[in-house]
Amino acid sequence: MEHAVNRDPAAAAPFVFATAQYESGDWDSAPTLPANLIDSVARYTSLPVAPQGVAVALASDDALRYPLLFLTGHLPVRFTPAEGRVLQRYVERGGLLFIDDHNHDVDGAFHKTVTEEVARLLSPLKPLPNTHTLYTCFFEFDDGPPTTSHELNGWGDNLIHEQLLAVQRDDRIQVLYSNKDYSSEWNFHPDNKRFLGKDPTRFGVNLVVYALTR
Amino acid sequence: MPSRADAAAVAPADAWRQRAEWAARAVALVALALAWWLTGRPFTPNALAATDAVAAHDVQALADVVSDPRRAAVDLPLDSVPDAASRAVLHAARQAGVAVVWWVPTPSGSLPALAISTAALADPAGGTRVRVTGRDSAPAVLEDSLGWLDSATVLEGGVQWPVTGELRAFSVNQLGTHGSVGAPAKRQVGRVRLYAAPGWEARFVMDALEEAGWEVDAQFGIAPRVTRTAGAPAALDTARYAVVIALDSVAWSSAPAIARFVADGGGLLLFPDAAAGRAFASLRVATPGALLAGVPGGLRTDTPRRGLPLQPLTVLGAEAVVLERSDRAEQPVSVAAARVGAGRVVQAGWASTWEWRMLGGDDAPDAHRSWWRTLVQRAAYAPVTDRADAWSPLPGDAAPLADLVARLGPAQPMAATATRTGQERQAGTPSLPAPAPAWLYAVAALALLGEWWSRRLRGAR
Repeated sequence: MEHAVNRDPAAAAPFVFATAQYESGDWDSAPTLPANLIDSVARYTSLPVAPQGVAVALASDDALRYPLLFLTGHLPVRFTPAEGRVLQRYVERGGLLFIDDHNHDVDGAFHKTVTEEVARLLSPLKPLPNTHTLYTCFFEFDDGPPTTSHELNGWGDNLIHEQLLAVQRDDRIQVLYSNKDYSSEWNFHPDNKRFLGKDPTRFGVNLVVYALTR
Repeated sequence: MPSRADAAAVAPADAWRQRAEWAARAVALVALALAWWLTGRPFTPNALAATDAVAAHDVQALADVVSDPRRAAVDLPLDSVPDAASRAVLHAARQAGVAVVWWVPTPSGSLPALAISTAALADPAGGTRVRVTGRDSAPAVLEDSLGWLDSATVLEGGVQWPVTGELRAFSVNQLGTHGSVGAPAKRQVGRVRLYAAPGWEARFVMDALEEAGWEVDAQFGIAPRVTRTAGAPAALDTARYAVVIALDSVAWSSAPAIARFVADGGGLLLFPDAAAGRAFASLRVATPGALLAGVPGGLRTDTPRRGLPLQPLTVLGAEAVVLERSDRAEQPVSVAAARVGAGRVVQAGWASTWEWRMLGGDDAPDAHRSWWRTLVQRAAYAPVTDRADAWSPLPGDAAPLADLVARLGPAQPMAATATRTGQERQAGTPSLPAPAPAWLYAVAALALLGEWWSRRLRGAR
């Protein structure tokens, strides 16, 4: 017996922000980031967005249900075989994986291991041109990825990273990699957003728009 | 001068001679009468039975046989339809007066009635749909000049192949019977215009169609007064667009323009969320029913669309043609089409097809792309372009058995062939003048010569 489902045809399916949960490392190192990004998507766009993000196991096929997967951490990353298989399927079939180095340190354990894993499972990361559509698809970022206040905070490599890295296919980003520590930049208490001169999560809105339209 | 009495008193030897002369006259008359009778009766041909069926497919052997002036008839056992050249030779022989009859030396007594047709696909990559009608449950092989392309078993009398690429001609072989047909004239296809909200469904529809070679235009509303475009959206016109895809309620505001586009010949793919709006009431092929959730785990089965949400098409319009049924209980209609104005509307009941691509089995991206490609082909406005170098196969090769029957008449029953007389073999074939046997004339001439010689020796005139 099949059951009918009630749904408003005029209502589009909402965007759900998903954080990738992997076995090694600390996948939940930026716990308030999803709420801040969801707030920005709802604030600046008319895209329907789910009010709560989800944490989805990278080893589960459930990860394939989300257009954008966010992956962050400080610690070494080694994907399990199951995580590797899902990651490959996710990326090959059209998902966008955004990896942010919470250490903002090119000599750090997270950077070294996760870039190795991406190269092993997918393809080596390469610099993404600052003229890419990602930087203009909603907010305009003429100089490429916005600089964070954490890049020169005395921790990490103390470098301004001019470009993000990416794995692309046919001009479409499959994996986007950042050493700019957006995980720290966007991981503020939601109440503090009003005190920020310029909303740092605006680039996150571009990520969501890009993931949904290209 | 001898008197009548002298003449009456004939010597006994002369009496015997006169009797022999009368006998010679009688023999001559009988021979001439027999020759006349034989000339008047129907001719029994010197029928040729080909030594085996292979001989019927050897053009040179056939040409040698039918051009032999001693042959007045050809009797062919055929295990398959001869090729076009052989059929032409036999037809020419028949037209020239040679009696040609054929029969099938198998229990069925018939040959595959093969017929081939082609239609250009409305697809940017070109391609042809080859449809074959042939003997049921028998394998058919599709070939081109380089070799095999595909094979399939003919079911319910027909089989079809979509063939990609630019091929000049196609041949089909079923049970040894060959047919061939030229590629159809190409079709000119425009772009695809997508009306949809930003999201994975829209994105994956674009991905699938772009991977298949289509150029897709879309405009996504991201925020009030902010849109993001894909491709180069422009006003709807059949000169630019082949198909409009209305995925959801975003299309409602453009329904009047879409209706004009369809009336002008354009194609429309209508999906449940778009079809639900009153704006599309005049274009709907059917009424969407209640939404049924996808069958859990269905995306990983051999029929992956079971796993997709479905709004069955419940009340079909009078013009609607069912294109696809779901394999769920009661097999509800999932895709149907109708002509509207000069265009076509294809309405699908499936929703969230992106799940198929992301969550389906290993071949899911290919299958998803192929399904969307076929759907667009069915609706697309694609006028045929003239092609000067279109290649034509030999006449009659698209339906070889029909051509054989048209040229030579139907097959003779095998049993009748085995027992029929020469006269029966001639049934339905032109009657020929029969030659009189020469020895009859020789007998008549010799008899008359002997009679004359005898009379001269005895002094009579």
